[in-house]
Amino acid sequence: MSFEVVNPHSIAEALDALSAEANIVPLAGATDVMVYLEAHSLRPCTFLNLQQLPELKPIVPGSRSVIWRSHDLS
Amino acid sequence: MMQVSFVVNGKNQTLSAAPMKRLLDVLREDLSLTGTKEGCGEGECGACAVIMDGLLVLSCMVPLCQIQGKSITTIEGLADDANLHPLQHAFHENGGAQCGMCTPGMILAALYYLNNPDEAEDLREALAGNQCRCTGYTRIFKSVEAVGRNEFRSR
Repeated sequence: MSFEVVNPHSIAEALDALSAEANIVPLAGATDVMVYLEAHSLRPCTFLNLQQLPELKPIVPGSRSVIWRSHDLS
Repeated sequence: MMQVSFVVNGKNQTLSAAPMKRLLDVLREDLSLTGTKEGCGEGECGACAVIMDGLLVLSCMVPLCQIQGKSITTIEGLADDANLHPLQHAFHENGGAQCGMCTPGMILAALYYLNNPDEAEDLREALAGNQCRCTGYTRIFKSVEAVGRNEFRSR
């Protein structure tokens, strides 16, 4: 079982990676993923690591929605 | 394999490992810091808790790819060469540890609470994520409360 990780540096890079690769899964806090990995219940894939993206850090209140900060930790 | 650099207990570390390797295993296997314990491995029991960039985290839930540049404190980082940390001293004096499995995570959660008292309603809530199957918790609470009252110094 092999899992790769891509570390994009911007949302644009993240979106490019998402559209370029078929078997890619966004990864934020990783809590559930870590449990599934330990249980060997995931097929090999590439994770798109979103945690270090500065654009996802702030909480932005909108008129009809809130974009939450990507949780720093698990 | 992914190369990451981070700090553990004030010491710079650089290593290469599988990108989804658990921080828990990185600490125990790659750095031989076996003070951090694995309990459930599912983020439920708190045994593997460490402090990362000032926040309490469960090291079984943190993949290697998310620790680049982080600063991590484990139980090994609390005592200095000759002196126990006040929490370690208090747990020892009050019988706050029995089998020891929960103790490192419990002490780091207690440390986090003492440093961030506003983040929990009280000590019981602060330690609610850490399971102990020996002590019945009373001696643990007693230990942490004593440190909160500055009754224990490093020794």
